[in-house]
Amino acid sequence: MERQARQAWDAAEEAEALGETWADIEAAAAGDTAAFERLYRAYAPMVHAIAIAHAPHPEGEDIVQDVFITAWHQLGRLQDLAAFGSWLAQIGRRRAIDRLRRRRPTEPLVEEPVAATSTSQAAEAVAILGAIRTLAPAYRETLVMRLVHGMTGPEIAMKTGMTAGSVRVNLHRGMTQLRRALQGGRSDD
Amino acid sequence: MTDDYLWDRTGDPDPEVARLEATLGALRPCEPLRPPVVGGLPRHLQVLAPARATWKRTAVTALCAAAATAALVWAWNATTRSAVAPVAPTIVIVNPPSVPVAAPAPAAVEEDAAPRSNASNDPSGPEPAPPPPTSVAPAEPPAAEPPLAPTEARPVAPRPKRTATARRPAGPRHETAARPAPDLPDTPTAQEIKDAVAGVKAEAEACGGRHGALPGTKVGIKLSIAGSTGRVTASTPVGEHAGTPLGECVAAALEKAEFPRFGRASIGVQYPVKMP
Repeated sequence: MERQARQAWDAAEEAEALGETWADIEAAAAGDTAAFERLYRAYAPMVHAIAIAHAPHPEGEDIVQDVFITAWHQLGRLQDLAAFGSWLAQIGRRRAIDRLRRRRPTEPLVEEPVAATSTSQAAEAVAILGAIRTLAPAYRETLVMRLVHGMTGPEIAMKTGMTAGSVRVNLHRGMTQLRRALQGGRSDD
Repeated sequence: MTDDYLWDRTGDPDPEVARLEATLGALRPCEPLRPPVVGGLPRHLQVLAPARATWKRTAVTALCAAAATAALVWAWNATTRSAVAPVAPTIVIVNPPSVPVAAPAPAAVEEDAAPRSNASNDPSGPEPAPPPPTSVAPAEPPAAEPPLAPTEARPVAPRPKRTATARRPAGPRHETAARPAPDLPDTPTAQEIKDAVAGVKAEAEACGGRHGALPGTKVGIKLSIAGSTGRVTASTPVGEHAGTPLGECVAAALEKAEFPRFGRASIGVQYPVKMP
């Protein structure tokens, strides 16, 4: 009963948030920079997660900036407000893959150290992200949103436009595969 | 152990998931992501090329170590992380009072209409669907190509061009709204809007079962409401449900909602209804 009540509340909150988002999208399309900034703050973590799920993580912030500049210029063309999140995700995915392709073949894919308390933690974070990148794109993006940015499943569903069921499957299967990949890596040590 | 913790951080924390959160949280940007400078600046002056600031990024990275420590401890102990703060009820009014509440014009499809701004010089290829630009007015342009849900292997079929499908109630409701009384509030409050929709929500949600919609399917409805009567003058399904039997069913239900009178001639409200 408590879970049902919580789900009902989540659904109501989601409806409210969607209503706000749609209004911000229309306002931003009309040139309202404050509305665009709200959209940025709401969706930047999702776009960043998609970016680093495909491209080296130091390029994540650059990709986010690029995606939102593109979105600003092309927002007026978006017909389906409900598709805003998935539209943004598509742009982010495309940008990240383009960045990866533009790297010269001889250029090593070196990850810069992350901000962490120790070199070993930094190395572990990068190694885990590398393992996540071996998974299917749908799994890796959802896992990065959840594990890096702390987005919950319902938040991921709302922002990306995926159904809750799809997100849950992606998280579950992605986590299963990630555990297997990490165990395989540990056993190789 | 269920995957509730992985799903929404409820239930008993999964130790491995919590450990991964603590470790991978370090990959988050140290500084809050700042929005790009937009709105009026030429593209070449907008925030670009952070690669030039590599020295700055290194300094920030070093400074973030202390912040990352706190973040790691927080993430490791996070078992009852608060959920997203409830959003205050703010049903958004999308139509300014000057926008006439008219039936959406049967706009012709202009495939080569000018974009909102100069075409991006982005070399990485076309972005999704360049339909004609729209205004905030209730005109109904044709649908864009369907958004791609990454995990759902739906066939991406081209959408049929939309014509004006806004539902117009027949009879007396079709009349133009008279000038409302000056002492009324400018617009209904968000709570009043919610309460009005609540009266017809059950009927709207019943459309899901009637039309085989999966639980969780969201149907967006755009309502035009006359201030003098508080009645819906137009109810239009938007998005992927525009023109569908499910969309029309939900729109017909919401059309019956009765709102309190208000000062503006009319307002537009977009309301998503989630199928149970």
